[in-house]
Amino acid sequence: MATDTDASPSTDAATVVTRWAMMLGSILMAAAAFFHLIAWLTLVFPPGFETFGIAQFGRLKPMADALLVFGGFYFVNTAALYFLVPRLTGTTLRHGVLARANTLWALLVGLASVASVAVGLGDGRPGFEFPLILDAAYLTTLLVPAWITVRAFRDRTEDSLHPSVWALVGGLTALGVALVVANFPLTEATGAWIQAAHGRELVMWTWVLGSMIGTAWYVVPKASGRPLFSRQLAQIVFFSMLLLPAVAGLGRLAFGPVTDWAEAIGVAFRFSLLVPALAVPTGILNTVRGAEGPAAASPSVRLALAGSWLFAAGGVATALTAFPYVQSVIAFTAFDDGTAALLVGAGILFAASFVYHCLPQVGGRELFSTTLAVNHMRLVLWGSGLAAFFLWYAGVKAGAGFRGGALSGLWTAVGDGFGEATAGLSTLYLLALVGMALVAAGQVAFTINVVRTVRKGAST
Amino acid sequence: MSEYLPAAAKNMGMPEALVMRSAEAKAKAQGVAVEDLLREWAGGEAAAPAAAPAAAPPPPAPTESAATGPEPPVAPPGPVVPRRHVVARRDPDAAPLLVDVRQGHIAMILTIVAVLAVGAALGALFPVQAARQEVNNAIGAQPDYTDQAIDGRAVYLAEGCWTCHTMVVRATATDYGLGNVTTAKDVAPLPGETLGARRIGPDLTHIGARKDPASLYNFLLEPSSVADGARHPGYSFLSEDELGALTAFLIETK
Repeated sequence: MATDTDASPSTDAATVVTRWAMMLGSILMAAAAFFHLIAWLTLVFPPGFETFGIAQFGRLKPMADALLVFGGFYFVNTAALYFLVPRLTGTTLRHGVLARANTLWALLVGLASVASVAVGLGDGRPGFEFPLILDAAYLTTLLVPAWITVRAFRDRTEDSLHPSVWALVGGLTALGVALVVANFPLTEATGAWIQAAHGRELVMWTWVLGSMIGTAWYVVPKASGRPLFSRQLAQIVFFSMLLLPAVAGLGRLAFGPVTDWAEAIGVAFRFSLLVPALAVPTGILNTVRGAEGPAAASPSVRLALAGSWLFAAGGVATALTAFPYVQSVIAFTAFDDGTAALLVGAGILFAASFVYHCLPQVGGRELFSTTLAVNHMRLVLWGSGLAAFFLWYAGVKAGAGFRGGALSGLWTAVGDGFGEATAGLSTLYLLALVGMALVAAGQVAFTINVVRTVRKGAST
Repeated sequence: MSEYLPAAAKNMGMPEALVMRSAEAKAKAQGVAVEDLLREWAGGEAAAPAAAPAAAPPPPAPTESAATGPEPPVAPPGPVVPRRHVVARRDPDAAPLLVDVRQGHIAMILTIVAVLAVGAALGALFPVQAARQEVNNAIGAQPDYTDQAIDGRAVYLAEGCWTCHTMVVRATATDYGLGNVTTAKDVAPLPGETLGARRIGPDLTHIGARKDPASLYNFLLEPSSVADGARHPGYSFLSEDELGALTAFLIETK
């Protein structure tokens, strides 16, 4: 473990904004993990939360999602952009002061958005629940990172672009598109259903996972001392994560009031998510191959590897549940929450991998604790896996119960019998909560490591 | 510490620690003295390689096209070299890049926008339009909601009822017994995402046909007063008007 030092981190605007974005990202990710934990706790013990308006699953879950996607991942992704784009284009970060102001603006908008849901002002667009004015304000927070990127491209001295840059720019653009499309004037319920499905997949797969996997194409070769395994593979991952998720959301709506052709292409695109799910671990594993020693010593590489396993598991589950027959069983159940636990876990690990590798450079100090970083990885890996397993189990049990019970009458998805039919699921939710608690503990470790690195790490 | 380090760091707009690290790495790679490199970066004369005393080329802008090796810094500020004057400096053994075209940034942005536009069109815009068309073509009266029920729909959305309840009956055996299958025209009077994505609680498509207003109101107010052991949050924190509107919305959803 590093020792305390008197050395001060650098104070130039570009470095400071990157460092602050990383710190904010880690703190908001930890907050999101706790909100998720409490949200599911209210499902298991609802009477304990009856009298508090804010403490209902219907408010806490959207708040947790917003904290994670528009808080934690926003700041880590922009930190990655501020850190990597100048380096990979051979320029310097311009408009550092503007970036700092934008970081503060994004924090204010993000907190206001979460607060709006907390006080019951949400407008009910899943994934984009904030009032329209806050969605619009959030869109403006993308302008500064976009402008900085464009300036870097204009001034660049590199004659070609690294895969990480593609991924980060693609993610940023995807978030903008998702915000615009999700806020088209509200249509009939079916239209809103489609908009929500589109936006959620685009945000999760292209903004969160696409950007973070992009950073791995930089971090893993750097930390392991090996060149990137295959540029073609990185290219395939980038394009598959750009186009497929935008349509894959329709695959969730099988058998619903959506036109058949839309459901059909949704299923096809959702199944195609197998491509990035398998290509990412292939690329990372083969990059590390031959340098297992340095890789094992680097927490960044270990976290990226662990993230790729979670991503592969979540991606394969997403793809294999695309088929309509499977959807008829597991749709509307906790199965999707289990898959989301894996994908979010993957995103967290990729984000942490980037932060652990790059924070010492922008902080001017060594990583506070490698042990804490490895423990963070273990907690998130096992926690996500545990939560996914029990939520999957609960999902299949509920879905199969409804399907089998529809004719026998033993299970019912409607009416007074519902409670009795699904009573056993609470135990499974409780077990999944153990996994979520592990993830939350891991995120606390992450935050401590990041903050202590900035404040107390040994000077490099 | 070198006397040139502060000036070099200031010149490059980077922390001294990073500049020192870069100088050490570059000096090792080029076979020159760290001190000479720092002097050069601080604005002095160029460093000469130990093995080749001839004048060294100016230091290239440090970039990270190579995926391995020490961390180079970002490029120093100063006059930006027009790209047309930049010779190809990439090491053929360096890390692979995604595109090898001079105007890659334009191609990149256009490609991303085009791909996302296609994705948004296929994934949202066309299907939404098709759903609207289906509603417009439908013959038959659609249920009307009272103003109170429309207010209740806003409460339904704001409280996130849709996170636990669906309002859609699908054409599949799993939903057999839930009532008539939902079509686009059935839910046309329900702007907003009321169809839901999760059945932590029961489906509410035809709840108005199953419940009476008084028991539903009381259940929402205090679930245990109507059903022992009900695992449902109470909404006693809502105002009477809001609770009444929510009840009206659910009762009118038949």
